[in-house]
Amino acid sequence: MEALRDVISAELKKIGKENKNLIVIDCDMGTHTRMKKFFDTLPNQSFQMGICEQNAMSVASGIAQCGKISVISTFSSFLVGRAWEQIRHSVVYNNSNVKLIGTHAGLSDSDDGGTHQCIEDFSLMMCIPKIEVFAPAFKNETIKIMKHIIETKTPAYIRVGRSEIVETNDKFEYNIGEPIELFKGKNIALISTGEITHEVIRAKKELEKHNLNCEVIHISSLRPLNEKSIVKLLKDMKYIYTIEEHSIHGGLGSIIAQTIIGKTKCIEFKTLGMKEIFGQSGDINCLRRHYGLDYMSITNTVLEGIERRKSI
Amino acid sequence: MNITTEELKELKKLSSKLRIDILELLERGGSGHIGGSFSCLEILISLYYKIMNKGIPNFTNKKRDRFILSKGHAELAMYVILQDLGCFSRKEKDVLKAYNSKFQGHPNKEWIKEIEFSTGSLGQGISFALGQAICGREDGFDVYTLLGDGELQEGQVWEAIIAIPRLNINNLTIIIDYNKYQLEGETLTIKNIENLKQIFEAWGYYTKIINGHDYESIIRECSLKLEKPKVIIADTIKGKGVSFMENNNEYHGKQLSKKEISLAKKELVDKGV
Repeated sequence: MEALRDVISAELKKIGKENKNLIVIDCDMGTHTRMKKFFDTLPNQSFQMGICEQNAMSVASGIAQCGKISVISTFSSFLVGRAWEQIRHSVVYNNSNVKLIGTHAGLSDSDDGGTHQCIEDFSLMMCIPKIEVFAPAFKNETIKIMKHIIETKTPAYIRVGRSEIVETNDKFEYNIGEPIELFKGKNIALISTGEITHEVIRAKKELEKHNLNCEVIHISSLRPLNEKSIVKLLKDMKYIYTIEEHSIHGGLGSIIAQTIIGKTKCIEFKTLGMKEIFGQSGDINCLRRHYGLDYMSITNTVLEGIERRKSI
Repeated sequence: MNITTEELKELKKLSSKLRIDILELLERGGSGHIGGSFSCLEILISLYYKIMNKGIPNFTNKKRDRFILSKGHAELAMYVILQDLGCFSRKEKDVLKAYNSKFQGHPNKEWIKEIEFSTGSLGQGISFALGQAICGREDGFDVYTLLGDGELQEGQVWEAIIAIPRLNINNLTIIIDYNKYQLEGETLTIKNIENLKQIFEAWGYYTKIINGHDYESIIRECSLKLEKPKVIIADTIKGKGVSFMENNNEYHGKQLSKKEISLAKKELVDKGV
């Protein structure tokens, strides 16, 4: 079992050995983000900027404008929160080839509490034009996204969590910008992004015990996103649930609602996420349960919806 | 680098011409940051015409020296210089701050490709310049950045100031346009210029206070090659060159009347240089 931060670090190391133009910038978090492994192997392509995310972000842009690929990494909360204006101005407004790797996103830095968790990054990044936004859940998918962002010159943000991910068969075909239909189902659709997808897969299995066959869609690419594919997958769904380890504002739920409104047979649409609240310290499973995002909470939300409407 | 008397005369003539160009740009419409553009004009002229690659820069050369206007609100100075250097021809629609004009409210590289970094939000240019200087060490070019004295209030500036000596950067020159005013009045930073110098020295910078309108000092200090990073505190006059604008913060960014433009032009022409 591996955490996606390890997958990203290993992939960057691989790419960096081949491509000397790849530069990685750390903000005193390399041990946790796993970028330390890159620093140890490729010191000449590594810059320790210290605890100054705003400066580091604009430095990354300056390096990128000299023909390099700048990768900057720290905890999501400090990366896209603290340096938001530098992302907007120094990076995207100046169209710099900078890749942001945010780790410990969502509730995943569960022990450290609300300051270190990041439940606002999707909305913070989606409101800036052009920057690509990814939240993978699987190893192979993460590698594919890494290859994509290094090959293209568009600014991009990837968010991953801290924990090891559940071993899953992730041999599915994945194309950047396309939703992934993990399981075909009828009437009920569960749509998620990032590592919470693993809880959603468990919820699907739980719901099977109630003779409910749910469609499960994983969206790791919030931008770009093929809206037509989303509508196609959801057009006959009556119950649509979006699940994200993020605020209910401006993330996956908002994107899906905006995309499908008036285009499906939906009678129930629910956004599962953090509702007007910051996180707190605690075991990750305990926190997911507390905020209604663990597989049993997801299962119960679906069952309650169907019970309330007395139809399927 | 030293300059000859003849060169000095030419540079002074250029200051006067470009101040008039700024006034003409404003005459066509819009309001620009005239006070802060006049205060740094000699610095920008020195960099673009004398210091960077020891002459007029070739903007497509990978090894060109770079200038980053961290205080983006000196757009007028930058526009007239790039225009004078023949980077673009001015079209009818190119009215300052007008719709679809290349003369955006703050310098934007999407509209003028010779601008290295689109600025406007203060404090970011110095960090961008640091990124460029990191690459310049390998590629063999120097980087210059100009900050306003008010801009020193941005926290990010000090993040960069701390990082630069630690990274042993010696191909970056930081110039501070110490014109003593910001939008709302007198600059809210250290009033004593000597104290400011000591702060930079304590961080490990070669620091020099100069008269920011004196070409010989600017060129001498900017061209100095050192083993440590450099801060030049350029003591300047906001609105320099036009008596009723000098040290008058009303002219930070106000729309000039026809009468004001004509009076200012007359004064510059009468002065001769």
